[in-house]
Amino acid sequence: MEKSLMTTPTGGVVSKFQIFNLDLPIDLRRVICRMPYMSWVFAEAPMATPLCRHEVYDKYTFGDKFISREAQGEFVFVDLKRSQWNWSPDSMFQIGCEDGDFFVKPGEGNMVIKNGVILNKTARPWLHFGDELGFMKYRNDISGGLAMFSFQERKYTTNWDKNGRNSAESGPENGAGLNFTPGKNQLIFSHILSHLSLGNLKNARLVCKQWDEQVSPLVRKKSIIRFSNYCTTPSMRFSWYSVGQMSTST
Amino acid sequence: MPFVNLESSDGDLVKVDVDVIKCSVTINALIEHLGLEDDNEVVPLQNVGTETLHKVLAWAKHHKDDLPSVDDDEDDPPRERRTDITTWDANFIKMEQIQLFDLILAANYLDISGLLDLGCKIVADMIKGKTADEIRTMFNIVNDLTPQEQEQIRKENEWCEEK
Repeated sequence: MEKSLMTTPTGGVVSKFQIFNLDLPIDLRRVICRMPYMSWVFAEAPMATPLCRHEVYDKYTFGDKFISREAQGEFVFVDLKRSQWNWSPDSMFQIGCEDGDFFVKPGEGNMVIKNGVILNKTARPWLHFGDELGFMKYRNDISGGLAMFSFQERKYTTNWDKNGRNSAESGPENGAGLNFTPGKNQLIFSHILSHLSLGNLKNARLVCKQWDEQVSPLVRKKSIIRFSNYCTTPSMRFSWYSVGQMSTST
Repeated sequence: MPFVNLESSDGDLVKVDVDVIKCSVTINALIEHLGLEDDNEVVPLQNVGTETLHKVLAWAKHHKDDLPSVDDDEDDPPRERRTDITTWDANFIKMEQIQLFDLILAANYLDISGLLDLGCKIVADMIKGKTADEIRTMFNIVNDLTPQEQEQIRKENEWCEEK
């Protein structure tokens, strides 16, 4: 089990609903989700993990501090279909992991639909990436049908440039094996950076420490961090609940 | 004084029309400060090799009738510069990376803003759309970021949105 945790990093896309695999025995790595409030509770998890924003509004990742993918194990996410998010899902389910494989289990008395099939209360089917999960949803205690989610692999963003340029265009040959670092001439490097969009600057930060040191201030100047609406989104409630309920199950 | 002799770092002399090289703030200042008055005077350029100097002069000759560029307002927030590259410039700048960087360094030393901008724009174009891995490969850069540092940067990047 430990081997699979350490050797199957997948990285990835993120979402409101995220289940992750702590480096713990199976029964301690289960995640229970009470849907109405997104009050995710990690059963007997060693620490609370506030919610951190990831990529776009409906995508999140966990962690009160950075934990590497290698250290944390494999991340798996359930991605919300935004168009159906006006209603609060109100089912409980549990997602666990065994040897790197994930399973879903309905909470007692709650209905969970996997790929169009209602799960038996005692069922514990494996989850595969792309599987669709459905839960009852409510608004003001009125049933509103199903909230649908898909179970997806986490994927890191590797290219922040949104212009879709062809990265195969490599420009002039570096036949001399020139090592281009900003330390050679910071003025020139700054000039070069001034021609780059925010997305490209984000890519540039990941080149090396020297590049990051030079590029970070530019990224800060050219970007903003939006906090609006966060405290009212259901996912933010997760953070709020999880802080005080480290070892609680719902 | 219609001509001036420029001495490259290789010791070669290149005679050039002053009108052509007026785009260089550095050379103009040297001519002025050295009090050069006749065509046989020599302006030493310690940081520019002969090959690069010829490229600089070729660019300067082609652009000698260009209007002076307007400097950016330093109070403005940094924005992505938008400069179109002419076909002539695009053909001119086709060279190996080492030559390109020598040219950029020369443009910087000679304070020729148009040429510096062209070179930097070309390098920026080389970077655009590439992942960090691709950039490292292209410029022969060693990744000295730890996995934790890379993850931290990724997380920070996720939060940052365009102003």
